[in-house]
Amino acid sequence: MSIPDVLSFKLLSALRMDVNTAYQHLVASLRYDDRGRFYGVDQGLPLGAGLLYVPVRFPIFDSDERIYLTAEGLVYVLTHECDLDQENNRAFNKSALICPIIQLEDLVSEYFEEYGEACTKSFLSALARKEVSRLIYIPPFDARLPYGGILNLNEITNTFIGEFEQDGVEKVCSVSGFGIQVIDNFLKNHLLREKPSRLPLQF
Amino acid sequence: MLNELVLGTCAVTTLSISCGSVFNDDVADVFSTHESAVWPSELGAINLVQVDVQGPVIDAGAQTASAKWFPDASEQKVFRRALLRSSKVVHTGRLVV
Repeated sequence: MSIPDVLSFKLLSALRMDVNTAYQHLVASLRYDDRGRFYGVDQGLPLGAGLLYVPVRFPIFDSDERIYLTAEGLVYVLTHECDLDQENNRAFNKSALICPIIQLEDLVSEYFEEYGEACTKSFLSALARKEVSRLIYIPPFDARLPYGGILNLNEITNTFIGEFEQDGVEKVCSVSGFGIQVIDNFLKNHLLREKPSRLPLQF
Repeated sequence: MLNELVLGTCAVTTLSISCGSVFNDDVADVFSTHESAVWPSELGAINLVQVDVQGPVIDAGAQTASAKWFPDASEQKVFRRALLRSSKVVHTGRLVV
């Protein structure tokens, strides 16, 4: 490596936030430590709420061009398994609600680039303390989620259930009874909390 | 509420083990029903206890609004770019005519 290369490498390193540093900062701020009790592995569980799959296809909105692009990645399934079970005689069970998972290292990288280290650390602390009610931090699982990830509840979307049967799509794990309570508490707050505005015919 | 498996009893105390969290020191915040545990001489009884799992902090609007990280107009693009990094784009959505 030449001297200019070494200098540019050091400069780039200085401009980047090390994900291990970011992760340790987040862990130190956790409201309570979820690690070790958030996931389980049960390959027998049917498709439905509580499972993580990869890679599943979903839409991402491009606000500049006002079109959706199609991406595939790690997702958390939200729809109840009874509403996805094809053995059940019920209509409208061909689509599943999912929430794409942002890897922590990718969010740290983008956040740091846009806002710098102080804001990134401040954001990670708020995320860990569960003060951002639209975002759920989920802890690491294995190499497919090495630093944990973020569920953005305003990016919940849907996909066709046949996607889960495609070649290469695999069930990563299930959240535990503890994990699903954490997620459900966020969902209840996000979707069901009382509206501040008085609605028509509301008393 | 979470059903938590509790293994074993002894004369003085009950040993409770939260699934997968036996090495986690920081549980008091969540498992408020825990008592000091003593390893029992025999493992026989199985009880279920319920514990509260805390959700998001929902009364922190003013606090977060003044926080350093509070997002600006770029927030949506930052999160979109992060999601794109975490995913693989398989179609741009543009129609080929």
